[in-house]
Amino acid sequence: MSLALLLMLCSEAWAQGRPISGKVTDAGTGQPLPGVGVAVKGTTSGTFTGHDGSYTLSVPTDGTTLIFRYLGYTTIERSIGSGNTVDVALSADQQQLAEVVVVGYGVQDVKDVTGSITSISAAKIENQPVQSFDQALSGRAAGVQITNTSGIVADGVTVRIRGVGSISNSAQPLYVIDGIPMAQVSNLNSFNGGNGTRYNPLADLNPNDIESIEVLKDAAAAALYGSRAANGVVMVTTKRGKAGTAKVSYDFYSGFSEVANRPNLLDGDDFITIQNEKAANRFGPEDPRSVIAGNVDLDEDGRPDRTDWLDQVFQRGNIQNHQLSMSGGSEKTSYYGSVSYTDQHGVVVSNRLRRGSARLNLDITPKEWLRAGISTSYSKTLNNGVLSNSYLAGVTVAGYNAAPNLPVYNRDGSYYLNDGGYLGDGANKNAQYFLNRFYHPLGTLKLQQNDNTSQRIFGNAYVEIQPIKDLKITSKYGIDYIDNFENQYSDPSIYGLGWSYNGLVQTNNLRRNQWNWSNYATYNVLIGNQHNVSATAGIEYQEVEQFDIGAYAGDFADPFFRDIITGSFAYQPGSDGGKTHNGFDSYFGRLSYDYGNKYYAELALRADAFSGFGINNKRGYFPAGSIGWRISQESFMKQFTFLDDLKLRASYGIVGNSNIADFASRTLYGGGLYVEQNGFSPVQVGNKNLKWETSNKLDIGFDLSVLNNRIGLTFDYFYTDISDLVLNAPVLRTTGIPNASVSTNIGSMYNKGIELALNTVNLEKNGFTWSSSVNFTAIKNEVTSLFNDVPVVHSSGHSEAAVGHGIGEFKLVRWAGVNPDNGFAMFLTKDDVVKQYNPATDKYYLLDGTETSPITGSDAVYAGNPYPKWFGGFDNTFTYKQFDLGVFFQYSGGNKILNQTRAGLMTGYLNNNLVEIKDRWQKPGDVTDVPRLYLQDPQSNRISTRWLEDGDFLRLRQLSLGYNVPSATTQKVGLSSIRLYAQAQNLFVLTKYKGADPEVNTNRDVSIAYGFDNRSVPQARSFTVGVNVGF
Amino acid sequence: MRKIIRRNIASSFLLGTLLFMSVACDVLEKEPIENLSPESVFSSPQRIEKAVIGIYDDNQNVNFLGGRVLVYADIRGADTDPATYFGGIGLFSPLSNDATVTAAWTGGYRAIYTANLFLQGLEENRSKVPTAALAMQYEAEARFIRALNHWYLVNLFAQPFSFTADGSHLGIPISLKAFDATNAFSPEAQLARSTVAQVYAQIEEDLKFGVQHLPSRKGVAFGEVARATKGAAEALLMRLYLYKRDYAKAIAQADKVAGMGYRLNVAPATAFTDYTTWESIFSVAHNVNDNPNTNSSLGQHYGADHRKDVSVNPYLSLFSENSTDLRITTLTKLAVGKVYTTKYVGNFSWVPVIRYPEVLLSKAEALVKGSNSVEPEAVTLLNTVSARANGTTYQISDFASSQDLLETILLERRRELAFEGHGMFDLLRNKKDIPANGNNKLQPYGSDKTILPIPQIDIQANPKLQQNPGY
Repeated sequence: MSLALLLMLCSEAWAQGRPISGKVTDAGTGQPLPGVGVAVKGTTSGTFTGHDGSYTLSVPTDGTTLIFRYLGYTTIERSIGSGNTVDVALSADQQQLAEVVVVGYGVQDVKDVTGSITSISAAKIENQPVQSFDQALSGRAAGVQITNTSGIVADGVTVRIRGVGSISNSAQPLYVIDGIPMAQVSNLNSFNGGNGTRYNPLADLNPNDIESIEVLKDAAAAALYGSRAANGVVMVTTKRGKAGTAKVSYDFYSGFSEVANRPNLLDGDDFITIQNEKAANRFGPEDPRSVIAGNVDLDEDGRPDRTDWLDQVFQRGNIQNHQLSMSGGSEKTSYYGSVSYTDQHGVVVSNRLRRGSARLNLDITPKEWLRAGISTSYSKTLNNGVLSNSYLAGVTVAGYNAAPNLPVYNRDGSYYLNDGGYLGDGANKNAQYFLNRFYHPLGTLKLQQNDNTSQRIFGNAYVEIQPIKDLKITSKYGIDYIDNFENQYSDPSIYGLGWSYNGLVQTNNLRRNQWNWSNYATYNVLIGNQHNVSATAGIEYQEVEQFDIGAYAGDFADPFFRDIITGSFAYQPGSDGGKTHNGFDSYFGRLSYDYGNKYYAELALRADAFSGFGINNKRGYFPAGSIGWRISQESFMKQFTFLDDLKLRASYGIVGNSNIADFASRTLYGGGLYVEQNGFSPVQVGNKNLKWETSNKLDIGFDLSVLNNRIGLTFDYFYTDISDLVLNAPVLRTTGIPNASVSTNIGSMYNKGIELALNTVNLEKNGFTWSSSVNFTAIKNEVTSLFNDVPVVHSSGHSEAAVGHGIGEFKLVRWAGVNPDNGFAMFLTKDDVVKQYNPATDKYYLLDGTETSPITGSDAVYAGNPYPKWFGGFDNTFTYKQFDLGVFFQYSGGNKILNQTRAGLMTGYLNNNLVEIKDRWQKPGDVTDVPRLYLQDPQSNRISTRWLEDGDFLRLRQLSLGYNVPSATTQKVGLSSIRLYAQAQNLFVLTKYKGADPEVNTNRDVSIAYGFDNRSVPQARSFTVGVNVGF
Repeated sequence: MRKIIRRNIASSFLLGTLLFMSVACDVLEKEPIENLSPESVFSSPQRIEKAVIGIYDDNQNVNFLGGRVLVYADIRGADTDPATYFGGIGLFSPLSNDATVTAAWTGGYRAIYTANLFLQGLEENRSKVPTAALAMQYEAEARFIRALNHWYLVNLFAQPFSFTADGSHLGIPISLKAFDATNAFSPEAQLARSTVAQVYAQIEEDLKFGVQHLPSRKGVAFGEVARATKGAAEALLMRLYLYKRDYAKAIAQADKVAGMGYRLNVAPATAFTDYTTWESIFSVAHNVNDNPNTNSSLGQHYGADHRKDVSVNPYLSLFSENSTDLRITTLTKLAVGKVYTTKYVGNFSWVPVIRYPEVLLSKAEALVKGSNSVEPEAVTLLNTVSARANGTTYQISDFASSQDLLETILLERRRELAFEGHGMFDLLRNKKDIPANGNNKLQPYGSDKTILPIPQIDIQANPKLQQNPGY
């Protein structure tokens, strides 16, 4: 279309007529818009605006109206009138922004797309206080569910496109940046079994360099990524220069963040009361053992010591971000470059991320038949991590558990520790009655170090030639090189490795290189004016090599030494390491046909061979087909004048998930060292038939726009049938098989649902506009078969994948409340019999008091599902003159959360508790949900449906206010634009969930144990202000 | 026209490159760098020997014979303080999904798997072993490890042999086959629990095979304690017969071991610093590099300078006040107000499975139980152990009855073999209650909570597997 316009515009630009000039600016920012097409309606006259947005045009005598067209902006018609000047301000158009979408190995005109694709523009991602762009996608796209694991910086983000695609394997989508697949790794760090301090490698990419993100959701859209497309594909396109422009801009924002919601813990006085009540209920109030907690006054200020440990471990984080970017281009060359630096202090003490990055994207067109370019980026990120969930020393374990009747410091200013390197005990009888030892919450954060430095080179180079008209041949070579250095230091004064070894440094260096070479040809031809045929075919190779090496040192000459410095340490454990590789070799093709921009059909096929699959199933074939009907182009639809466009789409295809370990199909022995003797031990039982998981995806939908594109609606129904699920199928423990599992293709499930995206311009009057964008997704998952239909149970025993239920279904003993007569906890057996538990006898009784068998794991029943049944976002943009206001809500619901954080803080052990425990049963007749306290009660507070809560929420994810300084003013100071803005993220959450935040997923990538809240650091709330200056 | 030709030259060049590449690029043929295939492991005598070492490596399972199984037996005995670190195990309160219990169960069978897998590999490649005798030795070593793990499993997860007259109550599943991907999910892999007597019989058979084919001990080399020997098999058979109340056989076994040169060190502490003396019959060897980051070694759990998960104050009550018994003065230590054993002081501390004093005391016990009289030889054996530690020397006249003598022998066992994995087993096989201890209540002999639950995860997935009562 644009090409036709160009030809049309150029041909008769010098026809006779009267000269008209003017300037075209962006209605939102006031910036001049270069390259805007200006045409005289009903004629062939036209021109483009120059770099300052101005144009001059000779209008034929019969010309009365000018048409202004610019990609991504609403087309405007303006009558010429009698003057010689026509200035216009174009407003950005959501509908048109996505006029061209990036698809596998090419781009497509949005009107021709027959697959299901959601585009997200740069504006939604830029300048947000996030570490990685995936965090900013929350609520932005229908069918895409984003869950932040915690409020720790650069922690993992769970991204699920149209539901969970796998049971044992990763269900994360494939990320493709500028046409090159990214490393499929969700956490770069390996210490503590990869579960200690996490680092999301997407944080290596500067979000402000992103131009657009396309989410390919159905098989038709994703088929060209074959065996890696089952979980959807996220195509990221970085910014490139535009011809006819030259621009330098500087972005800065700064702000602060804090924990949005903290658990409500007991203060010192209540702590002592509650703990002693636990003991008194057990030993009797007169018994000397009934005092287990009491006051100390170490600082001798005459008052008992008190500490709110949450004040100690949480902090007001701050953030600053600088970016200088330059872009522009001429007819033959275009460029985009940027340098940026971000420094984010997290909400937890010592948690910090610093990233510097640089990018250069270059395209040159030396000949009309030759085009070449590079995209390169380098980034270096220093992440000061902290341990959180799963570790006794973790901030949310140590910080929440610690007794509030203790000081933080000794009188000499050192941390208050006991002789064992743990938190001091004060007057509390910890040793007898704790469940777990207490680490000094602050000392641990300050003295231990859990750093990683990630360096990433991501780039590609391409050559595109056009040997004959309509045929393009492209060769593209890309690399993704990661160098991650983990550096842990354990201090000798804190119990742990540092304590045992008099200081211990542990380092690990991971290097991963991935290269990818794709070569493909695209042929477009228009036959007989109506038959559009486009064909793409290519081959691609990819290879990954990875190794890591660890070095360690302990017993340091002095705590001064915190690195491996020759001569400074006496203890040197052996070094360790690992090395692996994998490869893909692929063929692909796509054939598209449309008749008169009305009837569309497309076929795609990819054949992938992956080194990781079993010898019997190396290569897989992934076909997809789709059809589209732009019914609005039919003559019988012309009567509906309000209708701008209506396209019906349907697609069906098969894609796969090959995200398995490099040698998952092999039976393997590894080194088996027995003291100093070398040996071989079995490490894995493999399966020669192992193959990719198969995802059969059906999508039926339509795209509608009406009332001059004021209302746009996209609807999709999808049904994904996943079979041959690769399960780390659990074997009976009595088999003794390594890891108690074998990777096997044994299971199936489906995801079905609907997606709706509605974009509207609600109001456009007197310079005031209100546009909004709503998306809604409803989804249902059900596991339809498993091996022998035996459920796959998570190691916690609380959730599983079971036939007939959604994946991750909770299976829990049912809580039946507290008996008002005696304060005993009551549970239901699987046959609905109520049994009450008396901690003093450690026995269960029926309600009539007769002793009965205990409640056991076999009384657990299916209790609800952790995955939201519905979710989405609601974005509003208001503009008035130079101001714009954004109000963005995110919502999600229909899911359950197992609040283990709460369970762990309501126990009968000597430990801090939630304030909720003050509702405990105290005397007959008390109606409460908190049983009578009893020291070291092993069962009353067991995991049951008591801790299962609804996860529905509505979050004001983002509130932003912007002001564009009028161009008249900016030009006075020699700048082309200035934009000022302020943002608040996560201002409030409406929810009934009792934990810190209903958006929580402690187990990250473990699909069968989603929705556990087990001491995840709560999400942050942040406030930023920023400025963008264009030169 | 010229331009088109030039374009075609350029594109031919590019196409030619692509064509070349499609032939040259072989990215698929990838072999593991970190691991070996089973075929290559069983390809040479040297590698087969390494696979034998691998059996011992896996026998070091952190949740089982890497040391924890000894801890579990002792924290459920009478001589440590109640230990909270090990899930519900130390408090007699585990549920059937207790992670620590599940890990122990998994760990024991994991070690058995490696032994069985080796046996299967050996069967197919026997000819590659230089001599038939060596092949038999390898087989005997694998079967020894298999027997050892079954032994601890049956004693933790089933009532003692003495619970029924003939050991006909439920034991544990006997695992004699390493399953692979083709049959691990088949009904064949769903093992049911055999009776305790059947489990004992299998262990006995494996150990007897060991007696026939394992090497006799000649000195104090690493492998003579850290690997299976004829003496180790004989000694474990002695223990088995003692538990089974077959006293004549127990005595006979003890005599065989005694005839093989084993002897007490001069000092009780020596066996815990010098791991390969003639006193140690079989131990699971360790060094720091075996598992430098472990939270599961004996040294971590017991060590006064480490985690201090298990303090042993009750142990002191087995001795008179201000006792100069060397097992108090040289093998315990006071730290932060509590008493800790110094038998295990670091990750390098070996796991003693059987030491010679056990042979002496077992014989003494069997003599008394077999004859129901105050056997003079039993008193002599008792004195041998006690006197070495600077302890009491007994006269026959000190014992009013055989029961008196028996109790004294059992007491000496607690003193001598403390924290070596006998606590709970010795009480239960003698039909004694596990006494109340600190906050732990008394657990009557034969009651449900004296043994561990079969892990829920296996109960749910295996219809043939029966849970213990009370769980």
